[in-house]
Amino acid sequence: MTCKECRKQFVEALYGELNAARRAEFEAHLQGCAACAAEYRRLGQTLRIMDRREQPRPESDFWNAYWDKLAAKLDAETAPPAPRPPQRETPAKVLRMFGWPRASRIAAAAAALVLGILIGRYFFNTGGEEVPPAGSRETLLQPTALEVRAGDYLEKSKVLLLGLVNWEAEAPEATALDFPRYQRASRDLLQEAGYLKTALEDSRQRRLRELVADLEVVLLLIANLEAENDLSAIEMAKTGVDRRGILLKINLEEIRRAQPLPRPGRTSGKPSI
Amino acid sequence: MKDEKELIERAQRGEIGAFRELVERYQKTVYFLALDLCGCRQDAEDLSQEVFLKAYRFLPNFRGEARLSSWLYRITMNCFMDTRRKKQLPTLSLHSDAPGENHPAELSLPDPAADPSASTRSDELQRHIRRALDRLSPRERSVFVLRHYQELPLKEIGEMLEIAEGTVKALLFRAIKRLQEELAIYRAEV
Ligand SMILES: [Zn+2]
Repeated sequence: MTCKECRKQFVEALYGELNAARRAEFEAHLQGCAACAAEYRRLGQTLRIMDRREQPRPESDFWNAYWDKLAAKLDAETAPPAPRPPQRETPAKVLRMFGWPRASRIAAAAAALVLGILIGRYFFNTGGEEVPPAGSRETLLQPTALEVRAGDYLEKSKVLLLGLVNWEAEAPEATALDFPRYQRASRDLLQEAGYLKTALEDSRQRRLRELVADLEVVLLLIANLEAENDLSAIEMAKTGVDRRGILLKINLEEIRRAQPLPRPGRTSGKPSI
Repeated sequence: MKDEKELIERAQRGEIGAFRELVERYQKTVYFLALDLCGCRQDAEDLSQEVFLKAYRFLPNFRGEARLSSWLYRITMNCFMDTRRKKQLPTLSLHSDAPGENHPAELSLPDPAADPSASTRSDELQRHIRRALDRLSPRERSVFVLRHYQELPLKEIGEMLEIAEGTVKALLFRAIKRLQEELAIYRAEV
C-alpha cells in the first residue's frame, strides 16, 4: 500500500468502516510508515476533542411548549381560504414560478395533459358528436346527483391541472399569474374532495372515490407549494406529482377498461390512451 | 407505543392528532440534529419547526419505503442548506484574516500559562469547538455532523445528501483537517 492509498482510507479507518482485510493492510502500512501513522494519530486526536463538545439540553418547558408553537405556525399556514369560487383561468406560469427545472416542468405538464385528456374523455361528454347511449344502458349510466357533483370536482381539477400544460405557450408579456388565487382554488377543491370521499360510499363508486383521493394529493401539493424559491419543497413536490400522475393514469385506465362506454361514430380507428 | 405506520397513514389523511404524536416522537431527534448543524439554540428551534411544517405539507408524499426518521433527516438537511443559501452567512476563516487583525475577545485563544480554573477552560474549549464547526462550509459541516455526532455510515450520508460516497469521504476528510487546524492547541490534552 502506498502512502497515498493509505491516506485515502483515513476517514473510513477513523470511523471503523474498513473491513477486516483492508483494516489489516491499513495497519500494516502504519506500522512501517511514521509519517502516515503520525497524521492518522493527529486526526484521531482531533475527533477526541470534538467528542468533548457539549450540547445544551433544553428544559422540559421547552419540549412541553414545542407542539403549541408548531401548531400556531400550522394554523397560520392552513388558515381557511377566503370564500371565493375557483377560477377557470389557466395559470400558465405556475410551474415556472415554482422554479422547476425545464425538464421537470415538461414531464409534469405531460402528466397533467394525460390526466386532462383521460378525465375529459371518460367523465365528461362535452364533444358535439356525442350521442347518448340507448336503452337500458342509458339508465345504467344515468349519473346520480352525487356523481354529477364529483364530475364537477373532476372538471375543475382538470382545468387547474391543464393550467400547468400551457405554461410555455403564454407570451412573456401576458398577465402575471395570480398565484394566491390559484392556491385558493386548489384549497376550495380540497374541501370538496374531503366531502366527496365521505359521500362516495357505494362500493360501485370505489374507483371514483379513489380518483377523487388521488387528485386530492396533487391538489394538496399545489395548494401548499410556496411561490418563493423553496428548493427542498419543490424537489419533494416534483417527485410527488410525477408519482401521483402515474397513479392517476393507471387509475383512469382501469376505469376505462371497466366502463368502455362505446359511442357511435368513435368506436374504431381512434387510438386509445 | 402505537404502530408508526398507522400513525403516518392517519396523519396523511389529515388527522392532526396523529401528526402531533409523530412530532412528539421525533422532536428531539430533529431538534438535536438541527442544533448540531446550526450551533445555536434559537436557530435550531426555528430550523426544527420548519422541518415539521414541511413534513406536514409533504406527508402525503411520504412513501413508507424509507424510515420516517431518514425522511425527516433529509428534510432537515435540505432546510439547513436552504437557510444557509438564503442567509449567505459569511464564513470566517483563519486564512482570510488580515494580518494583525484581532480576533473578537470571546474567540481569543487560551493562554496556557494562565492556568485558569477547570470550568473556564471547559467553556473556552466549547467556544473553540463551536467556532471550529462554524468555520466549516455547510456541506463539510453536514457531513461531519452526520458521521461524527449522528453516527450515520458514510454510504447512508451519501444517499441522504444525494452525493457520491467518494464525495462524502473527501468532504469529511477536509472537515476533519480544518477542525484539526482550528483545535491544534488542544491536541496535547487528548
Ligand atoms: Zn505512508
